[in-house]
Amino acid sequence: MFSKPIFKQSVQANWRLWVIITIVASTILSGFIISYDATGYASIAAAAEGTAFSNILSSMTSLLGSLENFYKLIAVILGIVYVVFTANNLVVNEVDSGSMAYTLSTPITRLSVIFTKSLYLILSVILMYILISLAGLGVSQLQYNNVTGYPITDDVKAATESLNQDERYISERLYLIQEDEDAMWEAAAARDMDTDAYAIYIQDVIDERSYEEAAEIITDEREDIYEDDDDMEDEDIEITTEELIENPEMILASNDALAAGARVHGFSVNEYLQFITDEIAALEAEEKEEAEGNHESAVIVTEDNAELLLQTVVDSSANVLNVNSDQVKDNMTLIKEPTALSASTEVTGLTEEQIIMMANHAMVSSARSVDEALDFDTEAYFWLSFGLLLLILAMSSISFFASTLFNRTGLALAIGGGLPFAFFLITMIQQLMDSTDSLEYFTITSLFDTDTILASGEFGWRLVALGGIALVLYTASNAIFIKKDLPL
Amino acid sequence: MPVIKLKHVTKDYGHGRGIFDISFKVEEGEVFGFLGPNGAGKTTTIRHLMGFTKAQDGELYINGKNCWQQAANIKRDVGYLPGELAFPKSMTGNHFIKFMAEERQITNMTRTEKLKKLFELDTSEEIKEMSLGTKRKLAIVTAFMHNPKILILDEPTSGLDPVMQERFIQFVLNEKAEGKTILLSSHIFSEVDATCDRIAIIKEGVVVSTIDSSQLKQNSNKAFKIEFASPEDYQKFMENTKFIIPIERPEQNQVKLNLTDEKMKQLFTELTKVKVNFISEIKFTLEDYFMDFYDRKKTVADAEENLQYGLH
Repeated sequence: MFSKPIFKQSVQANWRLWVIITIVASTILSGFIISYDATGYASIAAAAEGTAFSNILSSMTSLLGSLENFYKLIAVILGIVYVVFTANNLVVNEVDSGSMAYTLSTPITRLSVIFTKSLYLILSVILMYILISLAGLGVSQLQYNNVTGYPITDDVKAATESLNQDERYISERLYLIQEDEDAMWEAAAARDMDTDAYAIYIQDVIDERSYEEAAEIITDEREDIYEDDDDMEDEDIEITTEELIENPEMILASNDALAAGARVHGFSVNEYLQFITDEIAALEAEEKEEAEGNHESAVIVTEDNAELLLQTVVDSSANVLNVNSDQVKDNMTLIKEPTALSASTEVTGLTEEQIIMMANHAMVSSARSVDEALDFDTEAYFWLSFGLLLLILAMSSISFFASTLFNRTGLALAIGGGLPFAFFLITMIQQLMDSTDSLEYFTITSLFDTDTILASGEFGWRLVALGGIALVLYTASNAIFIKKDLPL
Repeated sequence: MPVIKLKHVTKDYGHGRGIFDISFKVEEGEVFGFLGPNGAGKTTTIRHLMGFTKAQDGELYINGKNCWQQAANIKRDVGYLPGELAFPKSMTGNHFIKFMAEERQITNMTRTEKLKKLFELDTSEEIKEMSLGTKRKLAIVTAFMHNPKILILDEPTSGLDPVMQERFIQFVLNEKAEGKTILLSSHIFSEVDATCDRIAIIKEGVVVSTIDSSQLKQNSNKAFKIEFASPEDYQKFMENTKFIIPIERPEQNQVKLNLTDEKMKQLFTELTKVKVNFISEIKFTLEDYFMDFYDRKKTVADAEENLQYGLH
């Protein structure tokens, strides 16, 4: 079925366009990743929180979410250009010009001609999109160190300089920053925080990471335990970081989880054991306190009024410091100025401690959302890349089918190029205008639903459908070519 | 067993185009000419033989194998020279030869080198830079590089200069001497005349005549044109002759007549009695025969008759 000389000739005739498209797509993807503005995305997300947009934005506020235009438009049109021209070149061009006659005057069967040519197109598309995805992965790793390790944020960079250490080394041992006063100072400044707020932030990050590492190990252990148990769903087996934070006792049962959690803190296992025990006690105390509801202050900060209170504090601080509110928002440490504090207590009736806590909380949470925006979801990235590949393969099958069905280059190009391009245009219109849901039934691009993939929704059957289109059309192309009359 | 066999092959493209009920056989070692005007269906017939197109009706066999079902299998023994020169894009001659050698799984290139030398082919050039003649030579070399037993040649010399045309005819005659079976489609009479054992004439998709070329060369029917010295001589000859005179031209004192070799003596006896300016034989060639078919007003019967009487 496979003919080596035909495969070789297909490569020789089409490698140039392949190289160009691969390089262009990889470069654009790298550009998107490098120019990604984590702080910007984080502040958009913060602004939209609680509004109707927050759902839509939830998938946008990550590095991968910012690549939507690449996955929906740029990578698709580049792929279309490659598959349309290559599919045309491979079959209908040779039939129309007559050069296919030379190949068919040798003992190579039509089936091996068309099979080899389909295989070339499929493999070249697969290789192209693997390379593009790897380029994206590599650039993200180089730029943010967020693929295999923890992201290297500005504070880590600043602390690294002060500690005279390797960035990566420090990013895995944040406790080293905590232990060094100068490093703390530098790191806090790099993130626009004072050391008080930064201390809370870094403790938060370390705590969460230690739970994350522990949760992973506990999940692995549970997978081994329940491997043969059909009643247990994957979801039931998995212990998420959140679950562990609420219920840290689970760590105590596993030595490996303890060791992993301790490593993040720079603790020995015994120290960590003590730490977890304290945490559990603190959690219980908190619950008790909440139940009793005894508060000293006159005004209580709740979820409902927090935002309004913060806004009032910001406004009154701005007022008394003679700057505008946005400047205060950008630099929350201003709220802690004594004049600002006294103005704010007067207006809100909160105590100074409460206001300082509020300012710290605001700074920490905005810093955390920047961190989150830098998170690289490897699994989502895999599915995005895979979905894109399937979409382009489906597009290529349309072009290839047209290229084998028709004998004239013009007609094959009109159908085999026109259809994918029409799909692309519909997608573009969808991206430009928001209320065009009805259009999704007119294009196969809606089977590659980036939003659902980013939101970890149900996207499986759509990808299966794309694969199905490719399989059916490639098979049909092969069947047609071995039976058709060739005008050679 | 005939090497090439067509049985009632029909392919109707509509509007009177296509081929209709074509049957012929080519025996081993025979050179079979396929003659016809442009658009008569020569290339269409060859397309069927090559398995590019499926016949609506009828069957084609090469070496006893069905040309559609076993198309690839047959090609081991077939060298095909297409009429239209469409090469793959952006290749040099060398590259193309290498490509064809790989497709044919040939490793021994001595025959290819010999052919290149014979036809003085320079293969280092990009194909698209090549002249028509050079492209034709390249097609010839790649068609015969695997030393096929059966050659299917569609207008093989078009684009070649006269020297190369002659060299190609010599090459075909050599191949014939080696016992190859050859199907030669052409509208160039000299090359068909020079090489073919039998000739089929195709017109508007139908084989109108199949003749042995020996029939043309050793035709015992001869035609003569005679001019007499004076009107009196002309009159005298006309009164006494026992021949049927199909064409009389009293103004020029000329007659045209035809006769078989056996009656030659009688003609000269009659001519001794009159004064003759000249006597010349009207040669009957393949071209004359073909032209009768080419001229669409003439019927097949007219042409057959001309072959029989040798008068044109």
